[in-house]
Amino acid sequence: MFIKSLKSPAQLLVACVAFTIAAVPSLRAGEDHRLSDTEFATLHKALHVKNQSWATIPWKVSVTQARQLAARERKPIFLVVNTGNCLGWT
Amino acid sequence: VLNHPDIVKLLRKRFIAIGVDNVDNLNMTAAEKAFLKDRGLKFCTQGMSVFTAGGKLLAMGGGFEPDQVKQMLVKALDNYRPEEPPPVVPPRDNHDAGLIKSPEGAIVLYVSWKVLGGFDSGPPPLKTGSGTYDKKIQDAVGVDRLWVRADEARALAKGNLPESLRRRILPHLTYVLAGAKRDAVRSFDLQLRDGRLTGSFQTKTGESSQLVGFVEAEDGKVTRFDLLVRGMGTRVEDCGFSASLRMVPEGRKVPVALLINLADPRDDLARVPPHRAKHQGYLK
Repeated sequence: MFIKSLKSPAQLLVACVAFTIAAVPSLRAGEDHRLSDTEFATLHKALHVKNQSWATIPWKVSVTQARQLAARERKPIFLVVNTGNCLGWT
Repeated sequence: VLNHPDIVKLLRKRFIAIGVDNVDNLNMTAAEKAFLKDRGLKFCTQGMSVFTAGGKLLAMGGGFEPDQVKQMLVKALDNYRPEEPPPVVPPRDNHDAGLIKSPEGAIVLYVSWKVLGGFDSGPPPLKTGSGTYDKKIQDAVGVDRLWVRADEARALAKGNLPESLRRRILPHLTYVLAGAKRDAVRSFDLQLRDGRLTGSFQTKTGESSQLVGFVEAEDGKVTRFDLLVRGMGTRVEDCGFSASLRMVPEGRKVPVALLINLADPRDDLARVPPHRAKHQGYLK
């Protein structure tokens, strides 16, 4: 039912990642930090850049390439500017 | 705000999206800088704009509120008319001095990290502004990249871990597991044997973390690089780029994890230069 209520693949992805993160076992200082195979797989999925919702957008990093693509696909260009790159710290 | 489902959907389907850094790593040609000059390049700290391939400005503003950004995108779409004839965009001058290039034959690794919890016990977590976005920042995954030189990639493919690569990995561990303080690190070792990466990272306060991972290769090329570590982290304030680490109260230790994994070279996200690439000697 919950899955049916998700309206897009992006929403489903966000839900999956949120679920995965919620399932990650927590730790306290001084505890054993070794990872089991299951924990490795769970954390790998939760942290993988391409599993983040924003990363499902086909970002461009070249202004020229973005302009060429926008002209070809007849779409406007959305630009986000940061002190550092919002696509990951630079 | 760029994780909001409605905004992600709009950007995926109706726009060509581009992200740029206007301070540290511009990574633009002179012609690109001139084109963006009045279309957002001068934003202070953060800003968004929408324009056509030919340069007609359609909207400007954005911010941290999803509704505000959504309104901006919808307004821009209303104002958008495809240019006729389509503008001819000159090719990029790939020799322009403003471009930051990865070294020939290098492979790119994504570096990502996250606080795994611990905000709900002990002293209250830090707040940002009105507190509206605290939970989102607590859940945020920090992202960077790491370049592996061609000779290092060849060594990895042969089953050897170059010392230069081990040294380049260390600052990422220090950032996440030692509060970005180099002098807080007691030891770091990392080995590659039979395709398995193993190692440990110790801080002077006694926290010890085990690193585990895998390296696989085919026809002399690295096809898998995964290195994962879980341990205890502390607060790192770094203009927001430390992601969830900025929400950790000073002096408190929380569980964190860091992943370093192979990026797809065809992916534009892999083309954003590593933060530390701006420093001389990064590739040594």
